[in-house]
Amino acid sequence: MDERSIIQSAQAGNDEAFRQLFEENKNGIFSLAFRYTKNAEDAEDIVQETFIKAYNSLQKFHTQDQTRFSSWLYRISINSSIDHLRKHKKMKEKHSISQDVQNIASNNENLNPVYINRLIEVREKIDLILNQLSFKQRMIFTLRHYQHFSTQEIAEYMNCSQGSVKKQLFRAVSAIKKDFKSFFSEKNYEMQ
Amino acid sequence: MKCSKFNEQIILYLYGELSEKENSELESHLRKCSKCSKDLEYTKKIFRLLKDAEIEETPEANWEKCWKGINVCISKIPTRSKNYFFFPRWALVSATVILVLFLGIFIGRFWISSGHESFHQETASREFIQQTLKEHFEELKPILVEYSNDSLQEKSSTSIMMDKKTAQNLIIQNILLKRIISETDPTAAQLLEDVDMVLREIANQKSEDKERPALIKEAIDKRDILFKMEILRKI
Repeated sequence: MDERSIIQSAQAGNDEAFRQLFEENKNGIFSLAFRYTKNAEDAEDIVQETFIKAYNSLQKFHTQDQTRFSSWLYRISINSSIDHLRKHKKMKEKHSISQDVQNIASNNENLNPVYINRLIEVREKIDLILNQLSFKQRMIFTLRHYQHFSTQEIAEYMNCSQGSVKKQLFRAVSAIKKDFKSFFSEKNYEMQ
Repeated sequence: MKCSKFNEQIILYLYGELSEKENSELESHLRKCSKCSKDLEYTKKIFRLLKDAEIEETPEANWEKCWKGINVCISKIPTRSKNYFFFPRWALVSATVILVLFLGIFIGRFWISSGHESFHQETASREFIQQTLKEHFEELKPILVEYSNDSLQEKSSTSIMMDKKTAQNLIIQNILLKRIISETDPTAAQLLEDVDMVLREIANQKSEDKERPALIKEAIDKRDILFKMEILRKI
């Protein structure tokens, strides 16, 4: 069965078809939400919110249009992610940074402890900087830098102009550059 | 040209977002401006740092728990608000055309026509309805026969999904005909009422509900739907 038939079936009230749409799109939405919130539980909540909203608005999705279902879902998930973070202003429990680094260390035995410590500090710094960005800037940076969407795609997803996306992206990266400059001078790090 | 214009472009350059013309403008500026060249090098280093510090793998989500949460919420949505009877655009258009046609016939019959003309139109209208009814029965027959079949095997979810779609498409036609003939042919209207109930059962069945096909078969047999359809088709 092609995607269009599955969507039409879900629109007709077939919950199994809707489950199929969930199975096909869950990973992409989760990945974006996790990159944005840096927290697996928050990301799961966002996936749930996205699919519940999608279910409620399913009749508004027109299979005849050129819009892909995944793009439509992304649009919903971007709004859900921003809303979610706005509601839980301070992130509940951050994804365990040291656990991530330990995973990297166990996969690369040659890494020296000084480098690992530095990685932990850099990660913490990145989280701190991202937390200081506006919700929108943070989302644009996540979509461009981590999810590799073009500024044109981001503009479509976020319903704004490409020029505005470029401006926000510039501001986000500039903030990161500025904060890292002071971080490195404080820590006396040599940039490689 | 001012460096401030290129500060923004350096970032877009690294993301590969500049046009060919913008690329060459920036590269020519970078050859002349040491400040912007340094900025480019620094931005590259920051990007490398972000890449090094990137969380390599997204953790595995608890998908069962996640779906359960979604399922609980969507099952709370009242059945009536769900669009069980989804009609594709072509079906709506053809249904509207049929409705307008029938309305035209009835308006003509009650308000415009009189005498012999009225008699001819009434006969023509009746024949047209009979013909449409017969065609409707022809379309209903395969799905009803399948469910009424004694040797009914356990159906696959794909087959159930197709049946649901067929039933959903037939429901609108059935409703329209039922309304049109309700005054002139109560016997056929009652039959269409029974058919409506069966079609709704098929359209709303769930593949995990293994007993549903047997109940649908019982409903078809108990009401002699196929037999009555055959009689009305031959009249």
